[in-house]
Amino acid sequence: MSRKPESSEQASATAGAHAHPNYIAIWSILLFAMLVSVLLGELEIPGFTTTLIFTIAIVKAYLVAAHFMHIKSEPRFVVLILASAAACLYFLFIGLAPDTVFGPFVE
Amino acid sequence: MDDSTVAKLEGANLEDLGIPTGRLAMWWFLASEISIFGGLVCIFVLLRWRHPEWASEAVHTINAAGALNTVVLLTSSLSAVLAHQAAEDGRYRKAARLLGATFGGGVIFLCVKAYEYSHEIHAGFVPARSMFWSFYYLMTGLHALHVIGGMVAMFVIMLSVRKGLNPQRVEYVGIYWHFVDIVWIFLFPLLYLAS
Repeated sequence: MSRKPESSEQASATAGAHAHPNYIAIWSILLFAMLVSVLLGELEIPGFTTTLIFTIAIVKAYLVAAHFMHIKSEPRFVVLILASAAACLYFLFIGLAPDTVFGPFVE
Repeated sequence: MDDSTVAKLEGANLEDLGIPTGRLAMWWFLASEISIFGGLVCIFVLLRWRHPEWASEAVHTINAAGALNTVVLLTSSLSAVLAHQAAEDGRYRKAARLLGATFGGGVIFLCVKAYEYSHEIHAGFVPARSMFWSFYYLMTGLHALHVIGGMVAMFVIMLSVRKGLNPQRVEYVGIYWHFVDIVWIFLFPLLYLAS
């Protein structure tokens, strides 16, 4: 296919332009959060550390998705597309957990 | 399908959905990627829960290398989003330069990963050693393949956007790159920090 047909989309790229936040500030927050995660990893407090490290990972993922990927300004159905994939994972997890974690396990 | 039909279809999609078709396709693609990486992560978490003794294996991963790669990917994500901003402003040469910087981030990431692999394999931590190492190589290897795929796409787009062609693709490859970054954001604590 030639490049020409994309011209309508190309023109719309400007029409659907995103607001651009201060990316450097967001990047700095992400680096700081990573540093905190690494330091927490050195603390080795069982349970608490792991929970906090994964909470920080979720916050970092949210920052990247919301501000770098601009999910916040996408139509709602885009979020639903991604959420439907995440919902499948949720059902996979709760479906497998009883056997995998608590049930008899054959290596 | 001739060019005018394609143009009409894309126009119709834009009016109906309020999103360029290329970007919509990228989101669908990423939804399938969520299933791939998410499925692996789910199974890993369940088995890790079942086998607390994997902690003794996880301590042998190199935290400093994982942290360095996190910095590299976060920084390359920054350059990717700045390239998108430059492309939207019509500064195509700047966008191409920033894509080049993102590409460079991918190269550094792969070099660090290669160093890690060689160090771990020499120390005897091969995939057959235990299930933890099987997962480690599977998840990080699959992620590295995605990095390579993103770099190839980025290189092609960098060349075209320099000439002012298809600047909208800068955003699409950026979205993909940020997703690769997010996957690493979860792999880093899973495989390195939670030991």
